Amino acid sequence: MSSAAHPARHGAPGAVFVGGLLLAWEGAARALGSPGLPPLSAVLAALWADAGELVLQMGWTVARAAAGFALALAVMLPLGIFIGRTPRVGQFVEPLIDLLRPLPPLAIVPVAMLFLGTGSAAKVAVVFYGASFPLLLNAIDATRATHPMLVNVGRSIGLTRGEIMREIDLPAALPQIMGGVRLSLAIALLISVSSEMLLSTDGVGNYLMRAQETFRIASGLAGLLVIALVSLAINAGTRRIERRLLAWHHERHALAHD
Amino acid sequence: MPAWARAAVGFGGLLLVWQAIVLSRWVPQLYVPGVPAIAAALVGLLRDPAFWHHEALSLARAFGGLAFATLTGVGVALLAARHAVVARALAPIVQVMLSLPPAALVPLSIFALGLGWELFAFIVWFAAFWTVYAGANNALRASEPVQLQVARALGYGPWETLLKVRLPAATPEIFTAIRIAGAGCLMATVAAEMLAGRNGLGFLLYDAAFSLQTPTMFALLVVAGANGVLMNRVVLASRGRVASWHDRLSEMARA
Amino acid sequence: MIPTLPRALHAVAAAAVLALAWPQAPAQAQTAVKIGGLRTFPFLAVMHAQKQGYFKREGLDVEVIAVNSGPAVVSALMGGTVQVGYSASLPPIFARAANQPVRIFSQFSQETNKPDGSWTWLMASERSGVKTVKDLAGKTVAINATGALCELLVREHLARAGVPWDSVKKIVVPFPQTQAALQLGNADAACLIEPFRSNVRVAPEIRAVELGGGAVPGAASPYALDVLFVREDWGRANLDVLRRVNRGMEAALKDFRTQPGLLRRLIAEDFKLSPAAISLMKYDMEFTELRVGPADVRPLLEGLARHKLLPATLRPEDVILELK
Repeated sequence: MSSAAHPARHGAPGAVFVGGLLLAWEGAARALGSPGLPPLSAVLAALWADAGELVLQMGWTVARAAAGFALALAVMLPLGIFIGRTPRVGQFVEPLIDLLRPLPPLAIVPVAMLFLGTGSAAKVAVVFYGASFPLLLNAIDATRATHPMLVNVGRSIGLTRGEIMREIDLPAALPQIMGGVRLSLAIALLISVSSEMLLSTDGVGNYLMRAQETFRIASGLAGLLVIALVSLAINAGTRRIERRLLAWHHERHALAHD
Repeated sequence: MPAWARAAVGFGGLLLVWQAIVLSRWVPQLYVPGVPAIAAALVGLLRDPAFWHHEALSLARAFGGLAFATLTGVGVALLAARHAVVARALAPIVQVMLSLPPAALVPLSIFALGLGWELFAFIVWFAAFWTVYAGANNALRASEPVQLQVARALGYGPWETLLKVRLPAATPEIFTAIRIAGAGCLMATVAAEMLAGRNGLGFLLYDAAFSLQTPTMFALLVVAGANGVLMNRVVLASRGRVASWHDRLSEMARA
Repeated sequence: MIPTLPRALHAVAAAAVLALAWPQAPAQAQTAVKIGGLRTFPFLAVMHAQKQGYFKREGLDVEVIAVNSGPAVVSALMGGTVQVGYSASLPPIFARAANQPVRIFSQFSQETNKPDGSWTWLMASERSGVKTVKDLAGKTVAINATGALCELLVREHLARAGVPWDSVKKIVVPFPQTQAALQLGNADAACLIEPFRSNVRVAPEIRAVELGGGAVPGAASPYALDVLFVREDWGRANLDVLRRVNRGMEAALKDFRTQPGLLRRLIAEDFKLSPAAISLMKYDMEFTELRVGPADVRPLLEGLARHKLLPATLRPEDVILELK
């Protein structure tokens, strides 16, 4: 049967691979013996020592990432479906999207700071900016790629444009949109951390910068480890939601693969 | 209205919004220059041959890294599609790597790789690989049952099914991932150049910021945005060669 | 051998073997040294020395590599990409305290604690209402980085005025954005270096108040501000090279001392600052005795120890490499 029915077996290769990498790290660091690359054990020790602070700072980072992501989801999903369904609007807007997309957060953060100050507002704005694009692009592309037959059926039974977008486009585009959601979540976290590195008041990005500047490399790596763990947790949660939402989609494929 | 004209309208709208914000004096003009000042600085840049040298370097790094990441990302995704155990092994790693800011990796990377082209190659590849892999993996998993049944009827083995049926079907979505990764490559290039570079667009940005030449800084941001448009055009053009049948089909049915 | 190789490849392979086996040309007289550091005003001294051929005169083939952060310089040094690192005096001290084997062997500017001789200042905006350091309680101060002279400056000044460190909100903002932060009220006061300090001083919207200067204001003796450092093993094995680097630097610094406008001219060329901005700068760097002795870092170590910023107790002798 499908391995998704046995979560432990499903996750086993991942755990083994990660475990192998961690062991390799420990071995290589000990062999090298340089303070520039502390072994995993030293990093775990630093993690334990700073556990309370790391949890608190990570909380800030995740909160801002979540806020920016939620905003992006609420705005970009309907917008993306609309643009995908209405070619004329796309022609005006897409070049603009391409122009704005590659602007590095490193450059946007100072501008955001000018307008929104040094607190959370500026950082959430930058997260919103960065997390928007995967959602928008995937929504547009997925809507465009919806099998035209589905839309024709909708039109032939007399659905309005809005109903088509809601009842046909959205479910059909959902698998690809979920791909965009997962990417957008990761980017939201990444930009939240990056913005904290550039505009340091609090958060795990701030913690990373402080560790880097005072050469506490083990602490810096501990911060990265915490980011890694949190992103894994977010991903696990997203997959559960995805399994529920796309149950019908996975069933079709399970049938095909048998 | 031709396509380029529509793009110009969109861009013009953006300029109007920016100028309105500047004139509203929400933030002093010293820090957010108006459109004329930025335009003047941009012209100054375009006239300077040294600028083009930096621009060429940045574009080479970004495109090169994207190409390499695409090859490796799609390659590994094909492997993962064929052998599910690979996909499951990589799943936790991919999600983690997508969340790690390249800026946090730069000092460690400098230690391991030095300050030469290896550093940039690694940072740019890192920024793009996971996105391409994740997108390709997602796309290859989602094969239409009809296609698989046809492949089986034709007697295709697993690799043939993969390369002749599933990969072409997945191509549009893979290109979406490449588009996203492309922007990431440009960003990572600029970031690496700002943190550890002596040439390239990022270096010019850092330099302009520290020399308090704000209009030039914004002009460079415009260039960065223009690079994004260029990157997108190139990716879409490549997509056109590979996946145009898909678009034509959708286009026909919409008529 | 591999019989299936085409003949052309055979020829190429033979040529390669011959080239490698051929006796090498006599060793070059020049020793290759890569110097990596932040592009700041004092770094111009290094670049000037290289451009004028002062290093070449000493038999050194120097390549100057600009790097954009202290940690990056130390990483490059530890990884062997560069042999000599340049930065302000604190990053290598912090690195050493974290067991990275770096040693300072040269300094080319010092904080002399003369009234107008500072290199770092604490400034407040008029709108903040801050007139003296005491008023900073409960306010926001911007510094450019931790583990840097600015952090020590703020800590020292607050301590001397009896203001607890925790009562002040700290934000870390890069120098280019500090002026905006002051003007827009995101920060009430900030630590600044030139040219940002002069720009803030003359900004009419800020009407800045100078609260003090110097990273260690009560220091009994001058201390190093800009230093060159090496990885310990390489440094000890190449003491002569380090002496030669210093001689090259001395020649460059002599130029700055004897030609008053030279430094400003180089700043204008290299950093493309406007003449107006440069003319505002009231201060020319103090170029000093290059060789580092324990007294040159002692005030810094004492200051850091006062605020418990170092994970381990460091003696000055642990941080420097003395070139006798």
